[in-house]
Amino acid sequence: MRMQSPNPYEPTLGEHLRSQGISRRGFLKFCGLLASSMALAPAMIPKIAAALEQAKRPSVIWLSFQECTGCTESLTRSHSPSLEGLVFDAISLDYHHTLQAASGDAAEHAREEAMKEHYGKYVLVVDGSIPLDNPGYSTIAGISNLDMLKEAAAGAAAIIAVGTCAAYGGLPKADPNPTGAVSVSDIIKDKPIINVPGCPPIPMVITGVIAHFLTFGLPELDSLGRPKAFYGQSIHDRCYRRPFYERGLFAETFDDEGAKAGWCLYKLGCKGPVTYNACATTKWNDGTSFPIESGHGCIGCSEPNFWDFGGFYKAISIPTGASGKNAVYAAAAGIAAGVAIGAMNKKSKAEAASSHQTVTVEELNQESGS
Amino acid sequence: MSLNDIPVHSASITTGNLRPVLHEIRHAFSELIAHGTHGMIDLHSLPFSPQEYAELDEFLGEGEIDLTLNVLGKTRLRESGYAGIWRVEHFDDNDNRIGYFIEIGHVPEILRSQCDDIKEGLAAMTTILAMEEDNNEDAIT
Repeated sequence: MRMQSPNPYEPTLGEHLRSQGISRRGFLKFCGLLASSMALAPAMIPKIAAALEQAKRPSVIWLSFQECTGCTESLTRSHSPSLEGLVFDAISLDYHHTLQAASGDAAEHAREEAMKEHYGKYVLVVDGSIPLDNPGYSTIAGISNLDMLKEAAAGAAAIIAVGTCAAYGGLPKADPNPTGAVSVSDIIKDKPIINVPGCPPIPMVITGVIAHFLTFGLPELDSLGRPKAFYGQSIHDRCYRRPFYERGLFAETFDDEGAKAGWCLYKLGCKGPVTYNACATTKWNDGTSFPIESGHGCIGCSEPNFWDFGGFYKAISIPTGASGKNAVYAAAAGIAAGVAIGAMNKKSKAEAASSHQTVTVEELNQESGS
Repeated sequence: MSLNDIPVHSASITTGNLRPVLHEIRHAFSELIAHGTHGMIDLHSLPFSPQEYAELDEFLGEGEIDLTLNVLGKTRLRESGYAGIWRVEHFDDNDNRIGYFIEIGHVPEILRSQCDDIKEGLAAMTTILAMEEDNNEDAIT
């Protein structure tokens, strides 16, 4: 990462990585891992390598609004040298008020200069939601979040809304939404916006989206504006505990025999079936594990309004792709809930995957069999 | 308290993904013979149980070559018992496996010298030889 280089020559990403001591063989390894993380076919690796080799280092302006800095922590706490670290180091981060050394007028001047110099070309990263009720709820250098977002968005090539707050409003928007928080896409309508939700998002996903933008342009997005490469499948679809779900084997409490045997956490409130993210494959903490592997259900943090889902430990009753009515009838008929829902999921899996259905908060609040 | 102290452990399970992967390997193997196509299968993102990894290892067996490269952390290349089928495992600096591919080809791609490196090598060698010859001529005169 650099701040405001006076050098007019813009090295390509490949040149930059080699100047950091990374050989072409290392670069190939890097591209292979990148393709793997983006769920691209290995046959794409040479194409990624060729595109990244020639890509110019992008100017990135990072704005932080109503947020907790967890998204930045997620990215910068990855252990070195990591894939995400390499990508992050390869960009030209021209403004990030938490990370940059400059402060006050000098910091804001850096942002203005970068916007002017790279007008129409820079990538704008936003974390945090934007308060609309009163501009004074969140300001930077006396500028309201709304004004700063509009000004910076005007010259951006694309916007990456990092974290659930920027993507969907997140925690600040949770009922009763005291600041009138909204997402980036609620305000900006004339720029491509890539939502990278999560609380926080997986660091590899944040940098993977940047890498995808550099190599192949805008990624294919789902109906909620998320890149399908990372959010194309539910946690449940890729969960290693899925076989237990299919067999109707569930932990009933966090310390029963089922929990100790690693059975499915569905009945303990796991939101994996309705949550689309890459945790089950990319994992956290250098690939150590993900929440379900640690014995806790998924809380659905990459979905809109997840704070208002009705309780992290309340079991969802409606499987993806199944009608609420059918699921409730099945449970009421005394069929073992897991087996019934598992069977329904098998039947409707292809349909659900293509339509990428989500459920409403009201549906989530219904308890099995009620 | 370490992770190993946490009394949560998975019962032995199978995901059912092993058999399709074995057939995918066999298909890529026949493509290599028929058309010379280099194949690569990414295992890292597939749900595989430890038991299935072990069964895959047992099925593929061990070949003659076991190499370790030091490239952005270690990379281990192992030829399987079937010539032309390679296990390629990428590790970070803490020896955590961060990538696992099965490659089907004469050698894994990462082992080949890169074309641009070869060209740069030729240019460098030409320059060094020219400089040495210049120095020799200077020494003679």
